[in-house]
Amino acid sequence: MTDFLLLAAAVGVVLAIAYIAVRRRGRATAKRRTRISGDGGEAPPVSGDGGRSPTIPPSGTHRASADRQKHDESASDAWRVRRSPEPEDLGEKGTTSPLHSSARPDLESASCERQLTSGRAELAASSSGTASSGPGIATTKPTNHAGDLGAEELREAVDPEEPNRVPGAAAPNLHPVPGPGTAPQSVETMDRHVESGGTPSPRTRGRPTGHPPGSQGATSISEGDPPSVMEVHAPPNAPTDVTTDGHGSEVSPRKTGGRRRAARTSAGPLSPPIPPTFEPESDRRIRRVTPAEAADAPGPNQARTGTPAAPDPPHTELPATAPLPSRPPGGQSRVSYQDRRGTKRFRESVGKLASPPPATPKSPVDRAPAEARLRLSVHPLRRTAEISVMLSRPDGFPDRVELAIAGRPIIEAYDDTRYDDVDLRGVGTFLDDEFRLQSTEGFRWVRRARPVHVFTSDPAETGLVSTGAVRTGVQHTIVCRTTDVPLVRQMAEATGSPKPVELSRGDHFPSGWTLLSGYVPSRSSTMPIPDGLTPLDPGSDLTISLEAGLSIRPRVYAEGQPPRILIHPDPGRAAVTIGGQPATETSDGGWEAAGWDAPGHHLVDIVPGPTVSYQILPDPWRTRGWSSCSFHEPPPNPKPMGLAAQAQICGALVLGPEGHALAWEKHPLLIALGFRGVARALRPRTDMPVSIVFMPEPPAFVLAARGNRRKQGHVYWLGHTRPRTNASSPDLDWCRIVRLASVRRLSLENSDAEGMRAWEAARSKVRRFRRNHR
Amino acid sequence: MLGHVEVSAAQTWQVAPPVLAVLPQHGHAEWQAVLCGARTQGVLQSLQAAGSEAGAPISRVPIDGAPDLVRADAPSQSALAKLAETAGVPLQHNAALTLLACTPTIADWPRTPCAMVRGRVDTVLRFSRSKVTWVESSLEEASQNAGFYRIRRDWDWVYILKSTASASAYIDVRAGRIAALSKRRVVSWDQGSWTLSLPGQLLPPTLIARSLALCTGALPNFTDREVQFAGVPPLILQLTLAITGLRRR
Repeated sequence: MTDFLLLAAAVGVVLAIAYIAVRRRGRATAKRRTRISGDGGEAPPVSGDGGRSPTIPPSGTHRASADRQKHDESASDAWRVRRSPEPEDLGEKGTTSPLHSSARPDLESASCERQLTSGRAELAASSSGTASSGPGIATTKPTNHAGDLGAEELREAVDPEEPNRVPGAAAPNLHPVPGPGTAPQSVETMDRHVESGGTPSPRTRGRPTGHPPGSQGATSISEGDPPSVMEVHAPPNAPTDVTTDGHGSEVSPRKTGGRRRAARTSAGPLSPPIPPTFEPESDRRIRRVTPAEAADAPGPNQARTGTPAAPDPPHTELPATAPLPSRPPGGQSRVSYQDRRGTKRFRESVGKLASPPPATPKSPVDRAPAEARLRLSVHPLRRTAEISVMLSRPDGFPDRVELAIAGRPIIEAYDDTRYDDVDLRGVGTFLDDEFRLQSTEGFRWVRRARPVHVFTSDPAETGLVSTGAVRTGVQHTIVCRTTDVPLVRQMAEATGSPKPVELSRGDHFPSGWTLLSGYVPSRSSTMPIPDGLTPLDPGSDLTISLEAGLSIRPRVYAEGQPPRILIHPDPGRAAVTIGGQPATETSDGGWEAAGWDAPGHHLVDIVPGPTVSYQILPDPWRTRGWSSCSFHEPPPNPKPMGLAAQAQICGALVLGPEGHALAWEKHPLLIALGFRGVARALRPRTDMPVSIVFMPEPPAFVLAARGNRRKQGHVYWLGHTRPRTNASSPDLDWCRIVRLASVRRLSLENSDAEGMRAWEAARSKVRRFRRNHR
Repeated sequence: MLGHVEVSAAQTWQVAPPVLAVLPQHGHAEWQAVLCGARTQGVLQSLQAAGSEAGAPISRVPIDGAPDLVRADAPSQSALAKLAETAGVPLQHNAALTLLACTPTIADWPRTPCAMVRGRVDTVLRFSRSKVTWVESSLEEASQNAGFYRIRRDWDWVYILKSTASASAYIDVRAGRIAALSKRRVVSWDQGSWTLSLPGQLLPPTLIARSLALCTGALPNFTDREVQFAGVPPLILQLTLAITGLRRR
């Protein structure tokens, strides 16, 4: 019996508690409905006690799904009340900051009725992706207070049903994905402001609660509104200790229960409240924090990811992208997504700026064979000579080549013009016939057959280097067949040269050949020149000079500005060729031939007479482009510069970690939009009235707002219509921003027909997206 | 100064890639952009062809003692963007503003801490705040007082900025002169012609001067005692004053 009584008593207690709870809920609902009908009155004070339900601020409020709101009286201590700005602190007419698309405190009941009616209709038609995405971009139509952002538009932007309809899609209150290092702006913040400080519940997102006249904006808590916490978390790289308002003043965040909030401290009379900085919530529900959770609340940076809060580096390191909020199934797991669209492609292109795609490189087989010259090394004491081959290295030849000869020697490049010498001992009679050499990759070198080889000194080379012909007054060494020695001596006498001296051949010097040193002609030959010995005749003492042109290096010229080839005196009957092609004299005295100014190596050859080689470098515009350079030192204190400290300046081009840089005069709200996607919020500098952002593609629009009135916001057209990111799915944040700007009917500035078409195309894309994802 | 080449502290230089720098609008409805950086034949030909197609003709204005000013005049930003995209040349929106936005202030200008010069020196000059020029000084004065000093050692000149009596650092000479004249009212700006005038000794560092030059694309005008940048909009002026720490007369 006793047990039965005890059991009955326990059941009675439980029933009583339940009954009380239900009654209180019903009372709260009744009170809320009463206020909606326009009873007016002042907003109730902040609910800080243990049990009193928050009351609904009068006028202009709306509870779209009050029956779904949860109310936990036991969690009253976890109510986060956000002090609203004082009326004198507000921007205009007591409106909240331009970043807070809140209904204005002094909404009247009549207007609220109209808003309520229209809002309900619009709410049914609203879909996700259209939530009021952030400060200043609330989807509000003007209320009776012209230009004020009304609750109606916020409702339109938010569809509480949407998260359930589109699983996996972003929650209604999507907000622009902040760019690297940018300050994300969450719709939740706007909602919080909107609801007059009442911490909105998941059901009340986007529903402004309005304020009674004279009330302090966000201090009241909506009755029946299950209080929940607007968890504001600093973005990964935002300064956790200090945030700034749109005017550059610093605002210290309040720490509440372990969570940080960016709150206004002291603003001027007309300065708008500071937009809080926080990172986007992956879970779109505005979750109410129980006291237990508040006590155990992690820091702002770990609230979402579960990782220990790391100190934010002052803009020295940015994530590749900000996490794109997504709706995890079940609402428990966190999905981190890094938008890398365009990043890799752009990074690859940084090394070759402003150039069209490079031309397809020629295959080795298609290339003309390069020149092979000879080097004669004479031992200073023994007076013996050894000979090696110098392979030239035209543009496009690799740094290393493997020769297709016995032993497969690998030859390294000596410099940009030639390779290391090749020792061809035992290869064969490369002095006799035309000499050809080929690498395993297909690169070729050739040296024409000649009966005599003339060597002379070259200031750029050691030893003696082969040349085409002798020159008067210059000492030469002649390598000829042993049987031709008498003819060579005759030529020496005929050209006024001293008697050549025979040098000893080295052990590895090809047999059958003789070296004659000291050949110094002083005049053209006085006797008929035997066949094959034309190179021994200096001719008319011709000289070849290269003048004008754009010389990159000695005898290296830029494409399009070749040198002027002059031959002095007139060569007469001597054959002049350039690159093997017969050359003709132009009207200005220069010599030209077919292909003489094309990129590549060229040889000006006069027979009989001297030779001169030169090179034409191809235009980087047609090949590899230019590499970016930044010789400017980073600032020692990058914190005041913020995101701008990561810029790379090369000439007039400014690049950043993510790509294109865009700067704008500082506004309370600045968002750069791509043509088809990508939305980035501009980050202000703390020491100058300017904001900057880096985008993976050239920005097409900039949304700038100074307030929440229609005329205080503008969309500026920048002209770019060719996005580089070819994302198959639209950027949800971009959709939101475009949608909200469109709903607010912000004017399009700096626009022409192309700009208007582009904006209309953007709006159409958003509409299609909304239809497809309903 | 015009953004055609970049010079490193080691006195090596490199031609910058070609880019179309958009000029701020001033008194005309057209949008203008100037070509900065490399200008090979391929670049110019590409620009000419793209300009004809986009309705933004390319013009060449000779400048005495400097490369020709290659400018594109477009009726709209769309035409400019189309020109840049067709030609394959990057377009830098509001180049002057963007450059200034990425420039550190003079107070935060890069500098290398160093020990104060000691021993025998040939010449010590101090940049006078009042006279806005170099005046004779001594090593003792330099060691004990803050200021910007130019000291000639055995074989080189060094420029030392002393923010305090004990803190010394090497700094760019232009930045140091401006740092020494912090908060002085030495800047004048004509509201009608948007011409910004500075004392000749206060030619700003390269990045700041480049931003000011890219307001029109032309080099500044050097008179007897002043350097004048034309076409400087109010916002650029405001940023310049914020960066340099100077004030308007």
